[in-house]
Parts: sequence; C-alpha cells; structure tokens
Amino acid sequence: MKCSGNSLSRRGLLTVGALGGLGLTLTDFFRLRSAQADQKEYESLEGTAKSVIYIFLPGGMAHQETFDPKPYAPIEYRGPLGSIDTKIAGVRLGQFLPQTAQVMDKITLCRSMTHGEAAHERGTHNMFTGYRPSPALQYPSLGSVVAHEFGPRNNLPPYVCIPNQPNEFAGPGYLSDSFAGFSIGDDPARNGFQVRDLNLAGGVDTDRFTRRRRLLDQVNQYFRSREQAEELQAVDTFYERAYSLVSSQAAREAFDIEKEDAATRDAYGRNTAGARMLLARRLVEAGVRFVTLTYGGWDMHDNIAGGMQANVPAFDQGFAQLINDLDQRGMLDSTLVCVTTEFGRTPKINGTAGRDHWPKVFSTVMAGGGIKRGTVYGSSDSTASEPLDDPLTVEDWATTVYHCLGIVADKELMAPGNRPIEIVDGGKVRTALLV
Amino acid sequence: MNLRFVSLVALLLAVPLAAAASSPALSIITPRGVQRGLQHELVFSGARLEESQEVLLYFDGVTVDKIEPIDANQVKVTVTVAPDCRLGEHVAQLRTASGITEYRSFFVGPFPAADESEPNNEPEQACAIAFNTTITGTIAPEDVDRFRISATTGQRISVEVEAIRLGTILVDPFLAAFGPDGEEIVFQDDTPLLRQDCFVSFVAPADGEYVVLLRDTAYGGNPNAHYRMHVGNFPRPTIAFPAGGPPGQTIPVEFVDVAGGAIKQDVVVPAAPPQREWLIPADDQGTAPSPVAFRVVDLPNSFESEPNQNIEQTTAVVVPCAANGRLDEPGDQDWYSFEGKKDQVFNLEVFARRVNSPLDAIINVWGPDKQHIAGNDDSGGPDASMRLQLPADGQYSFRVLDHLSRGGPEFIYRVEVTTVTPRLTISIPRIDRYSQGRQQIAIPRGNRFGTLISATRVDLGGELRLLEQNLPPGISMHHQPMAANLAVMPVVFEAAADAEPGGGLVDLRAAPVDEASRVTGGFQNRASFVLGEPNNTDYIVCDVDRVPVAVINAVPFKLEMVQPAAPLVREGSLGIKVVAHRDEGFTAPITIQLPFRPPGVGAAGTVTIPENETEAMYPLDANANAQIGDWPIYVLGTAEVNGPAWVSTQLATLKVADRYVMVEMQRAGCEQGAETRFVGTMTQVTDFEGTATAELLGVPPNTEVAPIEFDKSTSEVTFVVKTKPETPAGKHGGVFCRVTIPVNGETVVAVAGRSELQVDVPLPKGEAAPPPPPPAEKPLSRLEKLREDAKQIQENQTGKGNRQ
Repeated sequence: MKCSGNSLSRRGLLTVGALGGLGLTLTDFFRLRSAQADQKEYESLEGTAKSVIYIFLPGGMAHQETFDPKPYAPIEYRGPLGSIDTKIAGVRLGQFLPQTAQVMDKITLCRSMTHGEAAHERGTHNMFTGYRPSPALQYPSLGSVVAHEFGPRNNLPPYVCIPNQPNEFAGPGYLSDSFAGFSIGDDPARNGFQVRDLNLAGGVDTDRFTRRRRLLDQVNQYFRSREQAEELQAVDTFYERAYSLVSSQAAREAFDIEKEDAATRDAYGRNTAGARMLLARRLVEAGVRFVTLTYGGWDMHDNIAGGMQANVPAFDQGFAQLINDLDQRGMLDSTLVCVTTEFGRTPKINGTAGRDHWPKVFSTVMAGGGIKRGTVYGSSDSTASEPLDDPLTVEDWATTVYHCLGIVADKELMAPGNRPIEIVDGGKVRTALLV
Repeated sequence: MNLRFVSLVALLLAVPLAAAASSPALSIITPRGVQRGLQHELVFSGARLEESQEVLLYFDGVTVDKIEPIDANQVKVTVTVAPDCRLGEHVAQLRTASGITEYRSFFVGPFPAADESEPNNEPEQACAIAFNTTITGTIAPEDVDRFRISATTGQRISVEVEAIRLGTILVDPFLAAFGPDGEEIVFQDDTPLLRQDCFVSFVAPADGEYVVLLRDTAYGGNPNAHYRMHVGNFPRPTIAFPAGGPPGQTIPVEFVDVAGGAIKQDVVVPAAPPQREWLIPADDQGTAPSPVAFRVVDLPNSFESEPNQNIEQTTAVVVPCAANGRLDEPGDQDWYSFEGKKDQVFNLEVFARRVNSPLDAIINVWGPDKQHIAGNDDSGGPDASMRLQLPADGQYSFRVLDHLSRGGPEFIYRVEVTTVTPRLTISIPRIDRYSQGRQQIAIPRGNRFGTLISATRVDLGGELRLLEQNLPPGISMHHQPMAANLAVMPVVFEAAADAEPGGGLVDLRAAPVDEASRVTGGFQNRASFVLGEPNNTDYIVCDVDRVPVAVINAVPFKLEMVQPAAPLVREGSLGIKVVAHRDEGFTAPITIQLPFRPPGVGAAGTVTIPENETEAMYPLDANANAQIGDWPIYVLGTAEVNGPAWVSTQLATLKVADRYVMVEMQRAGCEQGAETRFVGTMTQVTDFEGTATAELLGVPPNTEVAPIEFDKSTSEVTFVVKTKPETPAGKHGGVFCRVTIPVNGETVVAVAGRSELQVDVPLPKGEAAPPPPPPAEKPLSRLEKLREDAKQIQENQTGKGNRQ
C-alpha cells in the first residue's frame, strides 16, 4: 500500500529498515534521497573528442616569447626575442617555434586566457580542475572526471600520466581513488625506458599468476565480508584494471615506445618533450582517454632568453610532429590536444632579464577533437598585459574541453558529505572555438 | 741556468695568470672564532683566491700578520687579536689582484678554544670540559652533544652558545643543564638577547659533576652547523638599564641578570656612536662573551619616578629627551608629561625589543585637555613609534604599557622623544636578492667600473651629490647629482692607467646639493647571512658602514659609449652604440647592460657583443610620460676572464626630449578588397630640418600602405590603404603612425599617432530581381466556366467554317 503523496512504499520502508543494519540510519537515507533528487544529472556520451592529450608546461610559460609575441611593443615589453610568421597570415609566434608555425593552420591559439591566481600551486589547481582552489574540498582533475564518466577502453587505464602524476591537483580529488591517473613511473626519453609493473615478475608464468590471483581472491573475499570501505573498493578496482592490463598484450604494447620506428622517434625528437608526446600518441591510439604529460621548467624569473632557448625548441619539434602525426593518422579530429600552463608572465622584463608571474592574461593552445583549425581566439592588449577580446576564463575553457568530450560540465558529482558539486561551476561552452 | 733568469721567466709567466682570476669569492672563514690577546691562523675559503693581497677588516682590534695562499680556493691568514679587542662579530673580506670578495664574519671571544670530541651523544659519553673555555663543534642531524663539568656549591655556571649568530647556516640551538643527581636544573631555547641562540646561567646547588646538553631544538642540524659554546663563571645579564646614554658621558648602569642578580657599574659612553654593540658585562668572576644593547644617542636621559600610574601622576620630562623606565610588575603602566607648543613636531620612538627587553610596547598620547590624541603599537617592529604634531600649547602626557599587560625586572624601555631631523644613508642596491654580487667597487687599472648608488632619505628632499673623499690614489669618481624625485643615481669610477693595485674601505658619503643643508649620509650595506622560512626571511644579517674600493689588475677589454647625437623622444626609440676595445687576442663575447634608466625609459635587459666583434647597438625606448632632461647613463659589461670581469663605459648623457610631431589620425574603414584613406592632422612640436618619413604600421595582413614623406611645414598626412579580398575582416585596433625624422645626422624614431581600421565583409552583390509572379487568376464560377467553354466552342467552329 502506498499513501498518496508519499514516495516511499511499504516495501521501500522495509528496505530502509534493512539498510539500518549496514549503518545507514533513516535520517541518512532521507538525506541521500534528497541529495539525489537535487543532483543535476546528464548522460555523458562520447563527443567529437574521443581522447585528450593534455600537455602541461609547469612554472608558467611566458606568452610573450611563445604564442603571443608583441613585435611592436616597447623593448622592455617585447622582450629580448623575436617573432616569426606562421602559415596563417598575420599570426606570429615566438622565434623558437618555427615548426609549430607550420602547423598553425591545424591548431587554435587562445590568447585571452585569464585567471587571478599568481601562485604556482593555485595556477596549477585552476588548470587541472577548472576550479579555484578551496580549503574545503579537493576537486577532481579533468583526467579523473573523464575516467569517472567513461571508464576504461580496450583494457587500458582511462587516465594516464607521463611520467608521473605531475602535482597533487592532477589526482581524483573527492572522487574515488579508482579514478586516479595511472603513472607510468619512468621517463620515456630515458634509454631502456620501461613501464613498471606491466609484465609478470620473473619466473612467474600465466598459469602461476592465475593460481596466485585465485588464492588472493579467496583471502580478499574474507576481508570483504568483514570490512566495507571505499578505499578498499578502490584498491580492488585498481587490481582489476591491473590484471586486465597485464593480461592484454595489445594494452601492454601501447606503453612500449620501442615499437615506434626510428624515423618517427627522430621526428618527435629523442628528448623529454618528443618522447612523452610520442608515447601519448601511442596511448590514445590504443584507447587511453586522457593522457597528461608535463615538459620543461618555465618559471623564468631570470634570463628568459636563455630559458626559452633551452626549453622551447624541443617542445616545438615534438608538438608540431604530434599534430602532424595525429592528422596523418586521421586521429586529430577525434583527439583534443591542449597545451596549457599555470599562468603567463609579467608584461615587462624584470631586473634579472626574466619575467615574473602574471595570471591576468596568457595563452593556451587547443587542437583537434572538434576545435576549429587555424584560428586565434581572443587577444591580449598591445603590451600583452590584459585580455582585449573574448577573455577566456578557466571555467569556460574547461567546460569547452568537457563539451568536446561529450560531458556536460554542469553535471553534478557527489562529493563527501553528500554534496553534489558541478564538474565545472558556471562555465559556458565557447562555441566560437568549435568546428 | 742562471737562477735570476729562471725567476724572471717564472715572473713573466705568472703575470698573464695573475691577470686572469676575476671576481674572487669568499664563502667562509674558519675557525669561526678566535681568542683575543693571541695570534691565530684563519683560513679564508672561497674561489679564485690565489692572488689575495690584502684582508680588509671593518673593525679595530685585529691585525693581519701574513697572507699565504694555500691553493686557488683557500688562503691562510695569520692575525693577531689585541687583548682589548671588542668581543663578538668581526667582519673581513679579501682584496685580490683581480677583485674584491664578499665580506664574511668571524668571532672574537674571551676564552681559549677546545674542540668537542664525538661520540658524546649519551650521558655516559659526556666529555669533560673546564671552566672558561670555548667549546667548538658542529651540530649534525639528530646530534646531541653532552659535556660534564665539576662545580662546587654556590659556584656560578654560565654557558652561552653562538650558533646561528655565526652566520653559517640556519640552526636553532637548545641548551639544558643537569645536576649531579641527574635532574634537569635549567633549559633554554630562544632568548630576547640572543634570539635563536641561547644561554643558561645558574648557581650550583651542590658539589659534583654537572652535565650540559646541546642540540638543535628540532633535532635538525647540518654538518656545517658550527657552534662556539662558551663555558665559565661569567655573569650573563641580558639588559642594561638605562639602555642608552649621551656620547662621552659616564653614567651609572644596572645590568639586569635575573639568575645572578643585578650588577651596577659606571659606564663610560663612547664619544661617537660605535658600529656594533660594545657594552660587555663583567664582574670579578669573569666577562660575558657577548654584549648587551646600549644606544649611544645625543639625548639627555630622564627616568621615570613612581608613582606614575595614571594621567594625574605623571613623571614630568623636558623634551627632547630619552625617557627611561621599567614596567616593574604585570599591569604596570608608566605615564610621562611634557610641555609643548602648538605645531611643534616630535618623533616618539620606543626602544624595548630593540634593546633586548621582552616588552611589546604600546604608546598613547593625551593632549592638554586630557583627550587621547594618538597612539601606536608596532611601527618600529614590535616597538611603538610615531610622529606627533602638537595641536595646541600646553601639557601633553604619554603612556607606555605592554601589549599583554606584562611586567617584570627585564621589562625596561626608553622612549626617545626627538625633533624632526633630516637623515640620509646611501648604499649599493642588490643586483640579486640574496648575494653581495657587485657590491664592491673593483676598478681595473686604466679602465672604469660603474655602479648605482641608492639613497634613503628621511625628512630630506632636493638633489643629492656624493662627497669625493678618501678614495684610494689613482681613482676618480664621476656622477651627476641625483634628481630630487629619484632614489638612485649612476656613478662611474675610473682608475688611472698608472694606478697601483690597492685600495681599502671607503667612508663614502652623500650630501644635499643645497649647501645650506648640513646633513650628510654615510654608506650602509646589509648582507643576508642566514635565511629561512617563511619566504627567505633574514635571520642573521651583517651590516657594514664602508664600501670597499680598489684598483685591480688590468683586464683585456674596455667599453665606450658613443654619445648619441639625437635625443630619445617620448614614445620613441633609440639605439646607443657601444664600442668594445679588445686587447690583442681577446675574443670572448661581452655581455652589456644598462643599469640606470631615467624615469619612463625602458631598455633591453642585456645585449651581447658577439665573440670577436667590437660593437653593438643597445635599444632604448621612452614612454609617453618619460621625464624630459639630460640624464647620465653608463653601460656595464662583463666577459669571462677566468671568472667574470666587469668594466663600464664612461658616464654619457642621454637626452630625453618631447615629441617632434604628433599626428591625430582619423579612423578608417572599407570592405575587403577596397581602398581607404587614413587622414591625419600633424602638429609640429619641435622644429627639424630636412625630409622625414611617416609609416602606417600595425595594419592587418594582406594590406598595402605606402610610407609618405613630410617636412616641418606639413600639417596633414594621408595614407592610402589598399586591402585585398583575403584581408581579415574586423576591427584592427593596433594601427599606428611611426615617424622617422633626421636630427643631427641621426634619426629620431617615434610613434606619432594611433588609429584603427575597420574591414568589413562586402555585402552580397545585387542580382536582377526576379519578375514578379503573375497575379493569381480569379477562380471562375460555374456559369463563367460554361460561358468560356461556349465561347471556345464557337470560336473553334468559326475557325473550322472558315477553313472549309
């Protein structure tokens, strides 16, 4: 029997009573129901971007010396480096980006990115989570949200970090640890690079491994009957994924950069940037949904000319090759490549020939996965000090990235304390960026 | 072979080597301390020290007997320390044939030194020590050093540690003492007197062996964490009361020693303010190893007289004066009163924490009407400090109390009430945050070295000049007065071609150009010796009051700036030619920089004169508000001469001028592929001769616009802009007019006006309008239809009939 206006049936009420045995009180139950009722829910369906390669340049890359040079600005703003033409007339890049200039017709520059966080960790938090940092909550990174929404593909982890989770904000935040990134644990640029734990230990064949696993399952079953904890489930999930990874030849090979021919490796550059980008391409090709990689040190408070000379050429070669390679393989339209950094750098060259932190305006790059080709979105003013047109907020940028992936960023995920939290709070899709 | 010939060959070989070890560096002097009254060997360690010629000492009492290089990075220096040498920190730096090092410290103590002997971590391993000894050692990570010392009942045991004060590394020592029964008697971590360093001082309660424990507070430590632990029967007062007095007078002073009781002595105050704390407490049992704070200030001392607990019971003083008092017990507050006239201005500055008192002072002032008029808590650090302009004639009162209403025998203070006195100090600004880089003036023989001198003015305006005094022989100094609105000026030192290598510490002073002012300001430099959390805060600094100036060996290059003939105009740019004169065979690249930039002038950070080349252009530009005038500038250059060698150009003049022309540009717009015109009204600000050029820049790609010529009579310019179908549509805001004007055989290049270009997508071409559709026929009624049919039939029949 069910009274009119009461959504709780007699059977439901009995179920609630039974739940009490699991530590869930009636109050808890109603609170949970109430939260679920208010939670904004959207179904995530694969969008134009099937995968993301997220290239993060830690330290805060100067936009003036890379993607937003100001050749007509006074010398102390312009900086010590020059600029070059690109394939798109009127669009210039920093002098150390000649190869990227040749793929300018395939990528989109966002020159009006802006946020207000001038500290490294806060800028990093913004660009990995789409949120300003909060002392009350750890937000999940984009990669973890993708892992949460779509799960693994082709027995591969959905979210992989090269070489390691680059910072504390690239983790799963308030989501379960199951959605943490898989850290490959070694630098693909190193000779003898090998992803740890992918192969069976020495002297253990498949049969022996299966026997061991069965034995472990029995032990685990006992503990599962005694303990219920989210962390334990997360560990179980991790083990399951690891088993599927270890047992799949194709999945394992995705991590084997040695399978690439020498010409490809040379084209990407046999250095940190090239090797990481090449491995990222292998991984998305095999089915990984979100690959995060970092490259270089861009906190150039001193001698920015020397710093750029040391860091940009390898990036330029690897990035241009990555775009061309994805395009030639027909993967660019389904792979979103993002190049971001913590913040930009001060408009004026400082007393030690460098630039300091400047979050008011900086540049990012987006390519493929449903993003227009060969355009510049937004602009900074004549001294690269403030956004001039179409200021691009972190929220809107993240929402647009999620949109390409097929995730509605307004969707709410459940944070601890049964608090539904939007994937991105208040972001709008910038349709001008989309094809 | 003739021995004399061999020596000559060796000397000739040595000369080029001697010229090749620029920018020596000094990192530490060991041992970290010495006993006064004896001769000692010190080792100065650093880099490029093989040509050390002189030790520059900032304080009296230490004389150098011998300097013997050990290797390129170490020098043995034999010193004699006078028996009456001031105890505490002494400062030294090395002058080599090719440069001057940073300054570093070493310490002078009263006792002979003995090294600690490890292992001594456990109580049973405590090593035996004697009274009146300085134990030297290091605090390694998790290290605990224990020492045992025998004492008899009633004997004073004092232990003081110099660790962080040694300025080597961040270390926070902790001391504890245990009695013969193993019970802890006393322990200490930090003190107002010694800050992170500490001391313990107590009277032995029984005969027996006492154990002293020394470690880092958090069991941290470092192999380089040196310490000097003084052990003796000396008194260890923490405070002198009064904590200051007028120079040259003899005044009674009470040394406050909470553990051992007060010591009262007459103290002769030095005739001139000394550079360092100098008042060492001593009694018949010994001499404390470090001083207490005592200010030497030309102000009469006044003393509080209790009761002075409220506004009705004040201690009357005559200002200016130093009011000395003590908050004897918790809740105590001290009131003073003085007579003042309307509009008199006084500084009221409390010295409490700065003279090692635990007091956190607050000061408040009441007017003649007994209304509160001003107050301050922390403007002088934890001490209070304020400026007061008296609103009326009458009796004013001020009150001193502790922020937490604490009090006790150590809670002494002095309030210095002074009139406004202009003050000036000068220094060399740091070129990077934490080092002493280029804060020494080392001038290669026959060459120049430039530096910036900054001024800190208090209640002092106007232009400033440097006083040329006490420079070493062969050195001249070139500068222009520092503008009243600036805090920094360029100064170039030049060493004559025949100047002998040598130099010393110079009391460099500055004064207002206005000779009516009798203020002069001396040099001050502060080096950061120990930095720590948070955010590289200074824990131990070292202040000096003279600047080292020396002639050093010649270097194989000279720099010269070609005096620009054209001015740098507002919103303009200018290249300054810098010429390098290289010695035969010297090809290294030379990196040049422009340390001084007049207000509103920007420049490249550095420019390199490439290897083997002899000149470079240094780009400058001026913003729209650049300060017009003739400014002294110099270019500083460095090249690798077995270490960085630095020289500068002469002091040249940069003329910053107003614009020559201004162009008020109208906005323009057209459709893609069309042509448009930018019309600008030209205003001539400064006359010029000849033909100048105006260019329109910042136009979008695929746009053509030709430069135009103009002269001093031109009042309007028109640029014809041709766009193409592929010219990007939109508003192009960065369009500007750049003019190039011939002046004195050179050119003035400047932005003369700005505008914007609107490019639109053409409207769709107008096609011929389709003919209007025929009006719909009215549907026929049945009757009309029948009539039509009948008519048709009839016509047909008629037609047939005709044909038949």
